[in-house]
Amino acid sequence: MTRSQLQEPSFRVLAALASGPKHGYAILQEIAAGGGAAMRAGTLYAALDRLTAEGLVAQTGEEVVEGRLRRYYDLTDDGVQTLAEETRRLRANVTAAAAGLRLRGVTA
Amino acid sequence: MSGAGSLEERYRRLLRAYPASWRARREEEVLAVLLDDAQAHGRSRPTAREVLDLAGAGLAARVDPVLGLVGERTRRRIATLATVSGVALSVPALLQAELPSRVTRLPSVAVPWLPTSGWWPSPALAVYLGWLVGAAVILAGRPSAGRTWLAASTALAAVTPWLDAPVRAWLSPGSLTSRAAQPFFGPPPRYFLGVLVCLGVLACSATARTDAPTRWRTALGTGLLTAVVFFAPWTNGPDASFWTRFSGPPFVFYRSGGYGLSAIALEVPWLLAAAVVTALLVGLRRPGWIAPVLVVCIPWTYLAAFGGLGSSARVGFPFALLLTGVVGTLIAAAAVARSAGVRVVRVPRT
Repeated sequence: MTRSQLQEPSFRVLAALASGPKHGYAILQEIAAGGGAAMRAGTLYAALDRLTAEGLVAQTGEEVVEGRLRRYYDLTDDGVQTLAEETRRLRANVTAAAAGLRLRGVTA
Repeated sequence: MSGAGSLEERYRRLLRAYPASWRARREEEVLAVLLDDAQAHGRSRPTAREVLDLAGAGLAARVDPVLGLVGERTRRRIATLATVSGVALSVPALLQAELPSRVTRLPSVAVPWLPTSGWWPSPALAVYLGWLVGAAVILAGRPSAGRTWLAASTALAAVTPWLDAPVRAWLSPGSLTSRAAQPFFGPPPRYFLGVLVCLGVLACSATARTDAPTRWRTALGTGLLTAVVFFAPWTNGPDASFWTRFSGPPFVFYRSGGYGLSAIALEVPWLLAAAVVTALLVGLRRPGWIAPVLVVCIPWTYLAAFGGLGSSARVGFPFALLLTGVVGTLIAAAAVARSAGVRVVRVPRT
């Protein structure tokens, strides 16, 4: 199935979950560690709601730590496939852009 | 701990931006994330960015169930047409009413309450600039940022009638706020601001969950260019030379019969008719365009109904409505026939 390209927050959340299940705050930490603009909780949960509705992410468990509720999320099979497709698409774009810049003598 | 308790209360208050059903499902979990983050960074109160983020996401969560009733593709088409429409109206208003709003260009300045020089735009200047910047940002591939500009422009348009006097009093104490000056320097008419608000809501709500693929941006860019070329040089009267069309005080554009807004309103019935005929032709192959065209025609109809100061608009409007009704019936008939499997085929002569 051909999907339209992902919005950036959705891609960043999928990428943060690529290494395994995580709770909300761990996803934010993973995104922050990856560089770029920090993501806030409101944006994170909007993306999680959207990705869950699209069947790309699923809740896998929950626990209470120091009185705070943590729910864990992981990629579904469709989520893995979508992330792989999007990564390939972005890599192809990056390769094309880098090749163009090299012609101008700029290394990216 | 009173500090943590106070912070938790603040976050709970912010989370009230979300609908109750969302809070029942998510509040404790999101609160934990917010408190974890605040604790890690040693914060005792929410940051401004958190406030904006939660307010925006909460509002989106309230609006999403309504938007979900309309398909993404339809919303994107509505957004495209509404954005083109908003820019089409903002360009002439910006060029002809606000940018050249210099008092020295008035035909007569020998009036005590009129200042003799200066630039006196209304707050609507920011509304029009917001439309242009928002459209440009969307074209540049940043639909979320573009939507923020359009939303800000829409909100400003909604409050401009009440902002106008304080802003002018600040710009020019004692002169432009006088009742006598209002016909010349008053804010844009409310019906015009209302049209911009309607278009802004359509443009923002329809793009709420869409990205910006290249084809859509190409369609939007083409529409914007067409709108600018068509509207910008044309609305200050057919007899004006090219450059004088870009001059004149606001009242010429906003309130003179046969010029500016009135000139646009005179042509709107025909534009509406052309839009519906185009929707019919395009809709025979792509029926998905019919509903977006009709939706975006509604604020334009409002402009025609309230903006036509001359009698021609009132003559043209019923005619265009009649034409629209006939064409709309044809579209509906074609759609029903298509869904019933009726096809027009050429029968070979034997």
